[in-house]
Amino acid sequence: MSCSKSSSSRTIRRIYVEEEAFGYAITSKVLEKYSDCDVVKIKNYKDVFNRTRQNFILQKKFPQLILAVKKDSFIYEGSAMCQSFGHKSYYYATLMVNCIFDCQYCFLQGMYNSSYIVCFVNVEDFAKEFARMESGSMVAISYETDFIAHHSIVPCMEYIYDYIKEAGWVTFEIRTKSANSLVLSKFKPVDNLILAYTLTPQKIIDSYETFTPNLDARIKAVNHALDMGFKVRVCFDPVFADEDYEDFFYYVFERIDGTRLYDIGYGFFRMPKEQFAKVFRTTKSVVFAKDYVEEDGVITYSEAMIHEASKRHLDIIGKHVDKEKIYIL
Amino acid sequence: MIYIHTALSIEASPLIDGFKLKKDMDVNEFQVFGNEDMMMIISGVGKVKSAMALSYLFGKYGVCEKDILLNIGYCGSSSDEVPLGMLMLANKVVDMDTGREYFPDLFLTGYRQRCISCFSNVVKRSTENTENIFVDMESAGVMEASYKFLYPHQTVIVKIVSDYLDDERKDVSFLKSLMTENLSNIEDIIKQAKEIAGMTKGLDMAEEYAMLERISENMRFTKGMMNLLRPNVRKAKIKGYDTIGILHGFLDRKSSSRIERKRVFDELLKKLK
Repeated sequence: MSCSKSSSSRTIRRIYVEEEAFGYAITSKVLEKYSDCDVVKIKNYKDVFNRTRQNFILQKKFPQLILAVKKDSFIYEGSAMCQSFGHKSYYYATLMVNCIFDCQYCFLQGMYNSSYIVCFVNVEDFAKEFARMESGSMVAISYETDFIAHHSIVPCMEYIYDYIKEAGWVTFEIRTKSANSLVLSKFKPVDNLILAYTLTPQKIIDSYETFTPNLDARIKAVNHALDMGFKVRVCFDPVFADEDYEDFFYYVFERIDGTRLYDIGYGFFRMPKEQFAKVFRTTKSVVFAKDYVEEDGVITYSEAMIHEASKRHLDIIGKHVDKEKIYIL
Repeated sequence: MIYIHTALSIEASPLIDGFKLKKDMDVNEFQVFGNEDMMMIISGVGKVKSAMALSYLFGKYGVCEKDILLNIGYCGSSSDEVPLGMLMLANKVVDMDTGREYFPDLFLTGYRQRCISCFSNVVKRSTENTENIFVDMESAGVMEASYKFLYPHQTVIVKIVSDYLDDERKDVSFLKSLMTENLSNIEDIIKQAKEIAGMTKGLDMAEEYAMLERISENMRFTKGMMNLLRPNVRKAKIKGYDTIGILHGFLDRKSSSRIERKRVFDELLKKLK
């Protein structure tokens, strides 16, 4: 289980900066770091991001960064297709949009016109919304991106971390596929923050993911986060019901002590019908040529396939993690 | 196809010579020159004429994902620290009449990238009222047409500094020399832009869909049947099936009844799955 993939060949060459975004600390830091980049001043990020007829795949090969100021909608209610992990209300915040990784099955594939990475630099405005949230809520703050993977490009974590600590009554989730453990050394674990690592069989990583760390590196990152005292969630999501996962689950729990995990997320591949159709029009990926069914506007595996596969998978997972800690969607 | 747009004959002439382009005598509305893989149109000055010329060109010859468009022309600079003859690529175009901003997806390397301010009238240095120091009269029209017909990575705005927004009249041969001296750069820009446009190649379904249409004509498949077959042909191709071979086996089939049509439809669908 090796084959590390690097994103080092892809460099940010251009940064689009909204006029309003220039006054923010993140902007200054990013522009200082990328001082040799081509900086393009823009009025509104949507003038770049929402252009019609953009080539998503080509933009993935040549990633560019957009720094913008979010005006409204700092948090959104979570979709029914996402796990709430037992919280009474589930929200997500989009401090960043899009991802440096390129996973063929990701919902971001068909989400926006552009694959350019957008960072909203007015972190303080997001924090004000967090402060207003009711107790028991959960906010996924790395929902349409991967905060940890992007840390070397835009260190959002540095700017949001204190606000996370302050809103102790709200649980925050940072989901990642990154194996960059160095990032974590800058932060102390806090009780209301969960680091959620997505683990996937190496075969799936090789077939459907680009630029992501290999499984061994991710497992190492999970153990490192646990050793540092972070609450760690492992997400087996998405699971492909027609692929072999048994050996993978054994492999993972031979290397991670399941009793140390905060909880587990488990869910099968699913995508809204319209979004699936949009991606299908341009993709060459086998992910979109599998035999799915449509259930209430969602493309996923048939109930029979899900039932059969989940039984086998959960038998193994259940041997390593308390059943009440396993959240299934 | 490489589409090139210039506003003036003086801009076009060194390119016509350099790329050995021949005038298309069948076109009367604009001056169009071309060779096997290049088509150049001279629009006249201004953004409206530019947009009109490109709409004409794309309407007449068609565009596909592998095509590229270059707007090649002179621009003025408000700073005389910039050398005449300097070539740059636009990373942003501002229509100074409307304030609208256009953004080509510029992935080329090795050239200066600047914002171009597009004015409707000739701009003098004293009246120039913008922080952007490079000025032309066509780029906004080119981008407007580009947004309509092309992906943003297919368009490259190439500008060569020819004046400092002053009244000094430039010699024709001097202006031509600015373009001629940049010919190798322009060739490299074309090469890079073509390579990038070539990276976008999607799944080519043209042959399969043409065969499917022929089968449908013979079998009189309904619209609903075709709506089911097309994605399944695409899925089968993604999976690596011999879709051409599968469809070939159905090319000569004819339906004599509704039952026969349904039977063949089911048979084809089964083979694709």
